[in-house]
Amino acid sequence: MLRRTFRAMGTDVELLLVPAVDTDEAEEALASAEREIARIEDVASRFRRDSELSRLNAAGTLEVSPDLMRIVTLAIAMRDATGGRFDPTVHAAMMAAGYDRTLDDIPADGPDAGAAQPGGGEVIADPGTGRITLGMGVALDLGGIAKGWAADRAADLLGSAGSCLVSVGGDIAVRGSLDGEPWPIEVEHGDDTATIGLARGGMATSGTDRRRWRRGGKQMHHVIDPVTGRPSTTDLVRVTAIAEDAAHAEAWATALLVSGANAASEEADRMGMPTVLVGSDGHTTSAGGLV
Amino acid sequence: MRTTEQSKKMVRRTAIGGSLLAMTAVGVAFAANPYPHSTRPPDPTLASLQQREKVLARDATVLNEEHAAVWDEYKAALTERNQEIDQINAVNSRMQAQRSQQAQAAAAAASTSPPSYSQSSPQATYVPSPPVASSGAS
Repeated sequence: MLRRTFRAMGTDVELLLVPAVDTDEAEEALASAEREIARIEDVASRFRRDSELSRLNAAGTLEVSPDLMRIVTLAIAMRDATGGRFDPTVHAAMMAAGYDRTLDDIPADGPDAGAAQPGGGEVIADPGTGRITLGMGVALDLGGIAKGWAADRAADLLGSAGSCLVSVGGDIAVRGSLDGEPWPIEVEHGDDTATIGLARGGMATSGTDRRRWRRGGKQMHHVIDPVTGRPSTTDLVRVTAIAEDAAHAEAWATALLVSGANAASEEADRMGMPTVLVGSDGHTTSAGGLV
Repeated sequence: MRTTEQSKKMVRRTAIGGSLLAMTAVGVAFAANPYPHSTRPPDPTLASLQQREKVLARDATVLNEEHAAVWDEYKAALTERNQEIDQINAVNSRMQAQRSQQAQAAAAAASTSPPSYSQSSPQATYVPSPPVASSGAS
């Protein structure tokens, strides 16, 4: 199995490939996957002033590339599918919470976060004209879906060279199997870990316990509840969701996290979405048929 | 020498002649001016406007007739559409009633049998294998 690791999108990226082609082609596929992730970062990062997303946020309206159009339309579709619990228009809330730079660069302490900034902002994405227009004062943060999207696209490329797994900061897409078996992936369970075999699609984890900082004496993290416009305060600190692809898994992991344990468990069961829910007390439950 | 009586007749005739002359003058004046109460000749613009008014009135009549025809057509289509909506609503009501009955039946069944989602997912299961990657929160 070939392995390639590098940094992109502010996190660690890992490519695993069980090649079905010769070594040169396999290496070229790995390089293509790496370039694809870098390309998507150029499009969708809000931390790069020259990214397409930054230009859209600055201008309020922009004729965008098919990549950004697809990511934004998926993000808006996921806002609808999750009843607004996942929302790409929480950019202002992210900024208010102090998440105005990459997680690595956020100061541990700082002044008050300012007024709450709920989501639900207007986004008009017209694939026919290729133009996206944001409502007054609305800006997009695609951090809750772009890593999964990038993992999916990289897996599409890498999958042409064999079975593969792509992890972009723990948002995982797989193609094919590992020697005929599901890909074994480690998932944290409170104080312990477990291994989940992923046969297809994607897996993603959203959590509030890994990266925290303080603003005005209050604990902050990067998972915003779009309803309150503040960092989520439910009884869940970590949710791992498994879906048809990594982008959907990533959005659902966030949506279930802000739902709270009971609602998330019921919803995962109802959807048949395999899910691991870690409570703030460390208690871990599985839902959605994950046994 | 004229007698007094003759003089009186002449005066009367002269008066009558003067009156006739005056009336003739008025008649001639009236013939020259068919609008004796107006000091100005007829305005061609007014005539044009009056003609235009007639044309517009005729146009309005035509438009009203056309509007009435379109309105009748619209009302007919609306009535037809409302009938369709009534039929759809009736079907929806029946389906809703059926769904409600099915939901009640399912709820009753659920209280005595395990939920279907307890079956394991074919997409993902816990495995004893050592992991090759980790899905940590970013």
